[in-house]
Amino acid sequence: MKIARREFIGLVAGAAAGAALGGSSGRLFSDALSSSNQPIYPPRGPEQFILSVCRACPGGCGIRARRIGNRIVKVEGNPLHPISGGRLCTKGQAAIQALYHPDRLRVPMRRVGPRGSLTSFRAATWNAAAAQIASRLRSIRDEQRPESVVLIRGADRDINTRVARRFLEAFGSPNDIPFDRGSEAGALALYLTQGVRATPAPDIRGADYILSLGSEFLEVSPAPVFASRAYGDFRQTRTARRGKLVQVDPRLSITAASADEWIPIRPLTHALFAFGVAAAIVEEGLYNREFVSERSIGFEEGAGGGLRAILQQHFSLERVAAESGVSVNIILRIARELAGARKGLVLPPQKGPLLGGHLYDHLAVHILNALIGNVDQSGGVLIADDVPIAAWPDGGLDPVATAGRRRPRIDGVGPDSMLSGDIEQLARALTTGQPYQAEVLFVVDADPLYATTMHGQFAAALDRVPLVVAFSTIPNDTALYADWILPEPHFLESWNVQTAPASVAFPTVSVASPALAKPLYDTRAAGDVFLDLGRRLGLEHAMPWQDVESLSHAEVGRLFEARRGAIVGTQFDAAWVRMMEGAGWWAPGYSSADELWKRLIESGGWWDPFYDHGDWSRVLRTPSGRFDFRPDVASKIAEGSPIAEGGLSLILFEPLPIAGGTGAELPFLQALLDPGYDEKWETWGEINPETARALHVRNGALIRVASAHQAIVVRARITERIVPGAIAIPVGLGREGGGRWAENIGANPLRLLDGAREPFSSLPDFGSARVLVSETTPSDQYAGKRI
Amino acid sequence: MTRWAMVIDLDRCTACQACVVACQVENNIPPADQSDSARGRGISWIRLAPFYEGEHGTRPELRLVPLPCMHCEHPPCTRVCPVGATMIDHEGIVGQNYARCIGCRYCTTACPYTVRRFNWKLPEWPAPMEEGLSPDVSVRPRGVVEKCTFCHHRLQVARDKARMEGRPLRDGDYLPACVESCPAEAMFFGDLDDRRSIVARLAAGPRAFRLLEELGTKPKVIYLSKGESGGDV
Repeated sequence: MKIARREFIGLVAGAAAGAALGGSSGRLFSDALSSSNQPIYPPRGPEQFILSVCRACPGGCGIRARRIGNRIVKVEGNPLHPISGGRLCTKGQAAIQALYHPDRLRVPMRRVGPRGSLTSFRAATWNAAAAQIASRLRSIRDEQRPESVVLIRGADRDINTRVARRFLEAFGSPNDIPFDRGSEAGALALYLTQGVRATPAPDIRGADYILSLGSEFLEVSPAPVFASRAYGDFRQTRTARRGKLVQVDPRLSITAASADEWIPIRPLTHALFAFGVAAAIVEEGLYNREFVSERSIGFEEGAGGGLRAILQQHFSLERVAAESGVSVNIILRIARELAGARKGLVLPPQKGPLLGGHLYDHLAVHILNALIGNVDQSGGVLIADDVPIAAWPDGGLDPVATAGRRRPRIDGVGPDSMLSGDIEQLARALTTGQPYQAEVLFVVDADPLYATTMHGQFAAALDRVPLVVAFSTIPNDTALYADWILPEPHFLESWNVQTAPASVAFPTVSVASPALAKPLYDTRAAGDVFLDLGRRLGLEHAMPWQDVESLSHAEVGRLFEARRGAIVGTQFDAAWVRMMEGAGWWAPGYSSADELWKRLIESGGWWDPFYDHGDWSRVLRTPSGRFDFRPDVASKIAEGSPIAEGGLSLILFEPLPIAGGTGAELPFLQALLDPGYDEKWETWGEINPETARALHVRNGALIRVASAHQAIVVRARITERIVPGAIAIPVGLGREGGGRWAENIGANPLRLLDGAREPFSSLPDFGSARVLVSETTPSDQYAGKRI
Repeated sequence: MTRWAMVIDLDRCTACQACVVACQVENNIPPADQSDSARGRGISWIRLAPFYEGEHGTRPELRLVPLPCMHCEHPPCTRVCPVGATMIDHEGIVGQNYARCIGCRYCTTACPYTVRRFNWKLPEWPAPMEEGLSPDVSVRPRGVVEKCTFCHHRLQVARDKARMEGRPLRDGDYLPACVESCPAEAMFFGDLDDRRSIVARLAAGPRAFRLLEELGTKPKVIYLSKGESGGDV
C-alpha cells in the first residue's frame, strides 16, 4: 500500500521535473548540453522505491533505491533498517556511479595474453566459461584430488559467499580461505581471553567515555554508518550526558579531529600505553573488583605472579611515559577519567578493513576493558549472537569429498590456528607446490593481490595455478591476473540475503530484491555460477537450489523456523520486541515462512534486538569459564620489542572512501580522500615539519619512500598532524585494475612491505616497517606512481 | 511565513563526507576526472572546510566544517548579479537561474563563504552514466554558476504529497539529500519560523552560532558548536 502511494507521488514528481529552481531553460536534458554528442534523455515511467542491501562494504546497510522506469537515480538508507537507520555513507551514496560505471565487465572474459592487463582478455560466452571450468573440475574429481581447488573469499556475509563455501565443501576441498584482515586481530584477542571465536562488538552508543587507542572507528568501522549513528547518540542525546572521546595515536586522523582531545604517541606503543593506564588503575584501586574476583583468572595468580604483579613490576608510569612519549600526568589523568566514567570504553587500534591491527594491541586493550568491568556490559564489549541462517544444514559428502576434506589446508591454517586465513602462506604454497599442488583458484569478493604484503610473490604464485577464476563487476587487481574474469551483477541488480557484520551486537538479516528489474549486462551472480557448477558436477544433493532467488526463499524459511526476532521496524517496535523477548515471549507478527518472505521484501530485514547482558556461559567459554587476563601476554609485552633504528616509521591508514582497497574506481570518492588537506586523486605521505626539515623535504614535493624491499613515489604533506620520526601513507590507491579512474593513480604503500609477521600471532606486520624518505628531482613525472 | 534553514551539529559530525556525495548524486553533478580535480574544477555544492587551530609547533586541532550555501537572509551574491540570475525567494532559498546566468562570476567573488561553483566545461557522463541522472534536476551548461539549492525540487515533491494527502506540510517532510543521508544524524532541516520545528529549537539553543555573523549576511545554516551539551532539544 505504501509503495502504491509512492508510485502515485512519483508521477507527480515526474511532472514537477523541469520546474525545479534553476531549471528555467525547459530543456533539461537537451543534447546541446552533452559534449559526448549523446542526447541525454530523462528516465520515463513510474517511480518506485525498492529495498535492498548495500554491498559497497561488508557493513550491511539496508538501502532503498529510487527507480524511475528501469533506471536507478538515487540510493538512500532504508529508514526502518537497524544498521543504516535511513542513513548512508559516501560509498553507499556513490553506488550508483558503480552501477553505471563505463568500465563494468559486460561478458565473461578469457585470458589469451600475459597476466596483469585487461588487454590480454577476450570476450567469451557463459557456456564456454562454465564448460571449461566444469571440465577442469571434473577431471580433478576423477583424479580424486578435490583438495586442489582453493577459494579466497571476502568478509562480506552475503548469500553468494555461502553458496561458494557449500560448493567447495560438497566438492571436497578444505580450502575455504576467508580474507578478512580487518577483524582477525580483534577476534583473536577475544578468543585468547574469553574463549569465543567471534568479533568484538563495542557498544559505542552505551558508553559515555571512549578512550580510542588509535581506533579509526568513525571512518572505517566494519559497519561505518552504524558506528556513526552510535557516535552521534554518544555525543548528544536528550537523556544521557555528553560522551567524551579521547584519541591516542601518532596521527591526527579524521577520527582524532572529532575527538575532544588528541594525545600524540610514539608509533608501536599502543599496547604499552594501555598497560600503563591499566597499571595506574590497579595502583589506585579503581578497577572493577567484582568482575575481577568473580569472573576472571590470571589477575592475582599465574605466569609472572599474575597481571597485578606484572603491571606493578614492569609498567611503571615513568617507563610508559618514557617509551610512549606521553607524560605521566596525562597517563594518570586518562586512567582516572576512564575508571571514573560511568561507562568507560577502550577501543583498539583498528585502521581499516585491510589493517586490522596487531594482536598485542588488541589484547592489551581488551584486558584493560575487562579491568574496568566492560565484558558483556552495556557500554562495553559485546559479542553478537549467531544469526540463525549462518550455518546451513548438512549437505552430505560423497567418499571423494570426505577424503578431500580430511587433507590439511593449503595455507597451513588448522582448527587450532590463530588465523582464519593466510594468503601469504597460500602464495608460498602455490609457488612451492607444498603441501600439494593447487589446480583451480576461485576468488570471490576479494582482491588479495592488492592487499597482500607480498605482492611480487603472490603475482608469481598466481602464474603457477593452471586455472584462476575471479568474480568482479569492475575487474580488480587480482582479476587481471586470472584466467577467467566472470562478470558479476552490481548489488542493485541481484538477489541477496546478507547478515550483519559481527561488530553489530544484534543478529540482523537483510533481504534484497533486484532494484533494477533487468540487469544491464550479461552478468551472473557468483552464487548462480556455483549452483550451475554443482549441477554440472552432480553435486545437487548438497546444493539443490535452482538459483540464488530460490535459495533466498529457503534461507528465509530457516529464519522462520528459528522462532525468534522480528521484522525490522520503528524504535517503538524494537522496544516492544525487546520487552517481550526479555519476558520470554515471541510475538513475531508473521505466521508462515511465506508471510515472513513477503514482509521482508517490504521492510528490508529481520533482526533480533534483544541482548542478554551478562550471559556468562555464552561469552566466557575458556576452560575455567572465566575471563583470562593472560599474564603471559603481559610479560611478553613487558619485555618490549627492539625498535628498529634508521629511517622513518611507516604508518598506514585507510581513508573511508577507498577503505578495503575499493572505492578508487569511482570519481566521486577519488575527490574526497582527506578533507583536512583537500587531498584527492593522489597518494600522499604525511611528515612532521621537524622531520621534514632534517630530511630537506618540502611540502608538496614528490618524495621517494623506500623500504629495504621496494620504493614508491608520493606527494609530501608537511603537517603537525603526524608525530616526528614517522611517515603516514594512505592505503587504497595504486591499483592495477579498477577501471579508468583507478588504474595507475596514486601508489600502494603495501608494496613497501616484505611479508613480515607479528611473532606471536603470525598476523601480517603492518607497523614495524622502516622507510627512507627523500625528495625526488622535480623532473620526476611519476607522481604517485609505482616505480 | 516560512524560512527554510539547516542546522549542523558539529559535535555529532564525523566529517565522513557522506553529505558531499549524497548532494552530487541528487543534483546531477558530473564526475570530475583527475586533471579537473587538480585544477580545482570539480564541483561540489557542499564540502568539508578544514580549520586548523593552535600555534605552530604545538599540538594542532583540526576542525572540519560542512559548508553548503548559507542561504543568507541578506545574500551578497544576489546584489552583484548584473542580470538577475540569482535571487532569494519568498521562503528564503537562494536560487540560480542558469538560463539567465552569463558566467561573469561576480557572485562567486561576492560570496564570503565561497560556495558557488563555475562550470568550466560541458558536463560529461561517459555512457552509460547518464542513466543514473535524476529527472528532478536540470544539468547545467558550460559557462554558468551553480550552487546548493537546499534540494528545492524536494520541496515541490513534499508539497504535492502533502496536498494529495489533504494535510499541511509537516516538519521533516522536506529534507535535502545531505540531511537525509547524514550517518551521524548531525544535520537537521526545517522551517525556522515555526517555533515547534526542530531547527527553530536547536537554533535557539546555547550552542548555536553562524559563520561570519559579523558580515550581517544572516546565514540560514546554523551550526551547533562542539562541547558540552546544553539541553538544546
